[in-house]
Amino acid sequence: MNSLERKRLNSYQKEAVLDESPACLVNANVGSGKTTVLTEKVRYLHEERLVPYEKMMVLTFTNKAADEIAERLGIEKSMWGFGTFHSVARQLLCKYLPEKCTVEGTDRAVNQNETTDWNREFEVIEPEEELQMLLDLADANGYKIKYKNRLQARLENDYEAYLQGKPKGKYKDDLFRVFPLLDRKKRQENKMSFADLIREGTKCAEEHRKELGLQWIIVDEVQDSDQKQLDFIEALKDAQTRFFAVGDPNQVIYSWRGTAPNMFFMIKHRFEAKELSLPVNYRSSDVILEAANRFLQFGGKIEGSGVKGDKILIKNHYDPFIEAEYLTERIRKLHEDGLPYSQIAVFYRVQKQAEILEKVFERAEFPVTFSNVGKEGEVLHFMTLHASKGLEFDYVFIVGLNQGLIPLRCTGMEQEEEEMRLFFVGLTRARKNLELSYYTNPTIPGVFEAPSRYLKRLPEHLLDWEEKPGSEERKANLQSLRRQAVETIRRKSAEENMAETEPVKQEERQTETESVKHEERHTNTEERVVRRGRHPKYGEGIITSEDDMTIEVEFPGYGKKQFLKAFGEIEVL
Amino acid sequence: MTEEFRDYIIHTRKIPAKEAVCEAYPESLKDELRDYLKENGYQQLYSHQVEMFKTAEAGKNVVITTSTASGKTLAFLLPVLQEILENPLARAIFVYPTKALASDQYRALQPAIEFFGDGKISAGIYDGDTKPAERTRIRQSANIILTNPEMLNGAFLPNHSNYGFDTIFANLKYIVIDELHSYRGAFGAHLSNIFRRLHRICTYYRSEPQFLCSSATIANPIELAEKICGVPFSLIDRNGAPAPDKIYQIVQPPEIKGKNDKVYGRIAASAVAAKLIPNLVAEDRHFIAFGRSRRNVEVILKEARDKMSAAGFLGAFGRAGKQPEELIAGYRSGYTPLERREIERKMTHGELAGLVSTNALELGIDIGKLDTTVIVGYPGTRASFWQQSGRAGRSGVSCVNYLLLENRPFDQYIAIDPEWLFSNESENAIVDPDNLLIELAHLRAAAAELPLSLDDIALFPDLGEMIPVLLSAGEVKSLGGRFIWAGQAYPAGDYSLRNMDKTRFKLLAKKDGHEITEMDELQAYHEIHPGAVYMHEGTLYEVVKMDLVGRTAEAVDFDGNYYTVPSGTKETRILRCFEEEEYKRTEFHFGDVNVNEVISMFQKLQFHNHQNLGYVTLTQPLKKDYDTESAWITLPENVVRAYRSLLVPNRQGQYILNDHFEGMKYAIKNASMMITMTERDDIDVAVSNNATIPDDYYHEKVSLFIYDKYEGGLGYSEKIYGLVPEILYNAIRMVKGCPCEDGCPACVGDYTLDKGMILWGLENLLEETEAPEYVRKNIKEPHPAITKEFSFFELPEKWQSFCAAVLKNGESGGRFLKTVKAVCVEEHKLILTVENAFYAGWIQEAENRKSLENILRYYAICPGDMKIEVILENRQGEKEEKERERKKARLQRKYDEQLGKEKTE
Repeated sequence: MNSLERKRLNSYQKEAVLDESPACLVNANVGSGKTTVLTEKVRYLHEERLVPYEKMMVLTFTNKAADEIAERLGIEKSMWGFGTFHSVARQLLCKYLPEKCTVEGTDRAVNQNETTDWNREFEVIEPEEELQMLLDLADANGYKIKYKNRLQARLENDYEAYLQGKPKGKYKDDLFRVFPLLDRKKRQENKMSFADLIREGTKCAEEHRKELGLQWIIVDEVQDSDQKQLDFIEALKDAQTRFFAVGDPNQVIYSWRGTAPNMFFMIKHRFEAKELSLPVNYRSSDVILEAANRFLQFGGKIEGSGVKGDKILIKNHYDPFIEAEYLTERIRKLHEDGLPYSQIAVFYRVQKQAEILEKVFERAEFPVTFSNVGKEGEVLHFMTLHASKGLEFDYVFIVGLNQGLIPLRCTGMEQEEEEMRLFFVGLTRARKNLELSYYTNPTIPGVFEAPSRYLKRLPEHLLDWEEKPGSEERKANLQSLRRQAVETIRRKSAEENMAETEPVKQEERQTETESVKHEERHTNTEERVVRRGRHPKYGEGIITSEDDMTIEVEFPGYGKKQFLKAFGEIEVL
Repeated sequence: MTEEFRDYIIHTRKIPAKEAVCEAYPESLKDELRDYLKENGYQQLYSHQVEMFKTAEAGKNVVITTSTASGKTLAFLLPVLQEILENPLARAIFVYPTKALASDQYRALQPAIEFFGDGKISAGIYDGDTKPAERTRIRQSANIILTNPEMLNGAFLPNHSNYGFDTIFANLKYIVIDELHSYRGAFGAHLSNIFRRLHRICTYYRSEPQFLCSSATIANPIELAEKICGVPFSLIDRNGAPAPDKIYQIVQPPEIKGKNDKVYGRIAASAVAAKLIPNLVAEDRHFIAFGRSRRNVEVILKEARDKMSAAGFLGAFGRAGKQPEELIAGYRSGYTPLERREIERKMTHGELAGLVSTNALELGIDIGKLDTTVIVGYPGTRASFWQQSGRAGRSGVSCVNYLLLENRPFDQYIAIDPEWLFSNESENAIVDPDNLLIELAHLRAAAAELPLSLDDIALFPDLGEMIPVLLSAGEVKSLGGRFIWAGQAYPAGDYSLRNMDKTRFKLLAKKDGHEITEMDELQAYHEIHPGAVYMHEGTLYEVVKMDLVGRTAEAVDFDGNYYTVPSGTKETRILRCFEEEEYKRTEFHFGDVNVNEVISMFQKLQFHNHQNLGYVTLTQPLKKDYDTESAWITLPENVVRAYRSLLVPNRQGQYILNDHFEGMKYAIKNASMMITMTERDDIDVAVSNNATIPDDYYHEKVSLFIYDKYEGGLGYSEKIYGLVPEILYNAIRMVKGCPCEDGCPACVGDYTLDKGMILWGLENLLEETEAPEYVRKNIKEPHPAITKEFSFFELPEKWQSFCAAVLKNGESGGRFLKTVKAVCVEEHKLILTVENAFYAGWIQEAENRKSLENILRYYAICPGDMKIEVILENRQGEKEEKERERKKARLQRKYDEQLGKEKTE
């Protein structure tokens, strides 16, 4: 236990690490130290329980997560049994598929029938290559395929259906006739798609389950698993194999890629797992967590670690371009105040939004990376909400909280809920500061001018609105604005004339007001520090009020005048 | 040309033909361009084309003022093409004042685009009619983009960061502005501010486009170009193009006189045009006639067509069996683009003999070979006159230009002094980029495009005053020394460039709901109020309903014989006075006023004779009021007293006749327009409403207001305020110097007013003198006049020739007159016998009776209490009566039978 104590785990985390039930599912709130638990679990099993690494399988969803675990454990990155589902399936296949047959060899496949099949030197192909293969086969054989712009999705869904024995699809074309050709071709050319990897990996695992003799299967982000991945786990799992998984049902954001939104609970049921929880969030301020709680769909509240934090800033920007200009200014300021660029991130809902940000930030010569991978080090991060999953930053901007963007226009309740989870993921990336914005003029087709209803869902006392929308119609009247400008100009020129033509009167007035001021000042010296300012025309006066944009000065003989600080007309004495 | 018409020509001027001045291609001209020129038959270039190329190549901004047909398109195109051939990414924006002109110029670019191929040079029109796919193509790849100021304002600038507009701005090398002179007044101030915004955007994308402009002859082309584009300019004004013989004819329409020299008025220029046009068609001329207003164009078009139909009917006219509609067409704003394209095409291909147009065609649209122009009424400026008359003679054959004078001051002044028109001076084009309202409108738009910084004060001089106003209105907010837009979406849509009025009305056909046209509010109040007759390409509609909330009006087809002209009142009240100054016997003021225009009734005017069929009062008066700036002059009490004493009541007892205040307004407006070079729609003049109260009501001052005819004002009055003494002296000089004996339309606006009295009034603003003795007018005019050919009492014997005269003129009442079997006169009663019961009924309707009376009074001298009676000829009547009786009996029988059946059942 020494090592665990050194890691200063809380009681929930400790319980999870030490748990040895046949199946255990940890419902981990966002920022609750999920990766820590996972890593410490492996370390504990290896170091304290002396389980060899080759008797464990640690499955993650991203290479990044796998790498991080490996790094924390101080083991090799591509170690056997450690990695994403795909890479582990690949490892299995590389080990158990037949060897490549040689020209004069006596491979049974060649001998038994004239077709070849995958061997352990197979190549993994990208979806685009598989698609092209399919199209080429269709072309070569004169098969017609409809809806080509949606072919990727059709291939993903229907190919599996074909392999399960479904004879034809719902569209009237020749897609299902091409499938056997595609299957044969991939085998001939020894190429596997990602789907093939998992499917063949599952078969392979079933065949060699005993041989593998796994003691532990440990799964990260289990809420993101799909049915096939679950089958893969099941195939690996022998009677004595223990199953340990962590996940957060509130962070299901990939259901469009095949995850069922209730996967977490399906797993619990399927493996008859014991459920533990990690409720305490160490990452974000209480303000951010309280806001995030409004978007929590499963489980109770996320508990914070007691750091109150700043209110969430709500900004309105005219359009994405003006916002990008604003962001350059704002981020420059944050950086000047000591925040490293790497601790600042800007999230948006759709990839298209990156374009303007990219142009403006490049023009302003900021160190920027546009996705979560890529350049490391002192760079700003710009990414979609989806890509932000698993990351954390001190200062997070989420831009474009307009109806139709966050949330996107939804077609059903499931999508609606997932949009909320996605926003939840975005909110919970922030450690200290969160700034949300909506556009007056979104300029993105299908996006409304109205601010997102999510803004209304956030508790009012956590928010710092720069200005409330819709509280009053800001319908400006051009003529009345012009009138005001005319008045300013006329007053100025009248004052100029007066200053030139009536120096005596001015002096009189000056002494008059001066004496009044004197009395006033006399009575108030205790409470007030008098600040004075000088104007080239009006002379010296007393600064009566000041905010970040304007300064008001009372001049003897002229009265109170307001100035824009930006014009630098007033020299503060 | 009829003899009659020749008599009306009071001045002829011939400008002899001019030889071409040509030069060799400029040395640096690319080989590809040389090939293109050779292939298209340009062995040499005109001197100004070469000069343009060299000046542009030297990096200068150029304004060229050579005449209409001098090959300006090629002059622009050469430097632009050279740039694109060198740098395939280069972009050029061509700005045209109208969509029609852009599409015309796009056609003119086609040979070059075809020659070089789409791969090398591509172009496209980007305007409100462009389809989304084509817009995308243009943004992505067109080197040459043809567009208009509205698009720059509303699409290009506000979206600079989107949809690939950034690529356009980053690679923008040239901005070409055609018809620069059309950007004056408010429109010019808008364009100038649009370019201020464009400069900011270009600076952001690190480009610095060069400007190439063309302008009609104006006094200040460089000043105008620099004000609009905000950069220094070089001028090219030596024209190398040849010109044919040009003949200018000034036509003074005759007066209409009775037997005893009693003057019934002067024939309107439009009526003369309606007579001249069929002649031009018959002589196989190709022409354009320019009317002064939309209504004017339609009236001329309809009347000319009627006359052609009538002539065809009488056998005196015919051209390959074509209908008038196939020979002449209208052309004006309010027609759909499709209608316009078709008209342009027919004109270019010679299918049409001529067009009647508003100044839409003044703007350089190529409609093929023309040999004649007819300018119906002096267009207000010499620049416009030369532009309009410059439309003829393109083909290199000599041409004739008619100026038909209206009975209006400027026109009549030209009759007196034609030299004035032909003298070399041309008007200054006025544009005030710092007009506060316009500057503010664009500063707001600019803030939404790119944060404002203090450096922008170089572009927007009133930035320092405007930012605090916008800050306190919550429209901008501060951001690290810059100001970003915090107001509502799309501030560039808060104003309209051509008219400050953004409200649009649609006119819909009642039967199928299709949109006939659309227009702004004030125009709608004038043209499509309930009861209005709206004319569209010669088709008449009667407006039956106007919905002020939904901003639509409904119209039905109309085949009546009149058109409508609205009338109403205008009230002016002072809101606040900013500056005032005493001067001699008057005070000048400058301040804000409220102008309230009420359309309360309309007049029905019969086609062809333009006689009044009566006034109709609107059930709901249409009010449009706006605040504007004004310079006003108080009138001395002795003048007010004298003028009031001269007022004569009208039939309703209102003291509005013989109003010498009107004469003073007229003289002062003319002097103001001359001095500030404003056009008649820029400013207006009014006198305090208490001026014409006839009793001894002298407590309040009576003032004469000169105000901007734009909401909020556009700065003209402010300028006038500084020039009042000069204006007064000029008004005095113009009235005094007018060669008329005692008052004419040229000097005091109305020849029934006493010129001496008006001159005295003007002089009394400066120095008190005794009022002259009032002269009752007894007018003798030296100009040719037509005498009414017929008299009421002779009508029975001259009935046939009377009918012929009426028919020849195309009057629609002619159809009725033809059915008259017998005519007799009993005292002051004209008794017409007809056979057809329909016409007997027709004439019972007051309107038709009035229309017939107008025809009679127009062609014949008739007694004031003339009555018309129509008798249905008996024989015919009896027959019909019997027939009706038979029908009635038959019906009764059937009814009885039916009734009987029911009973038995």
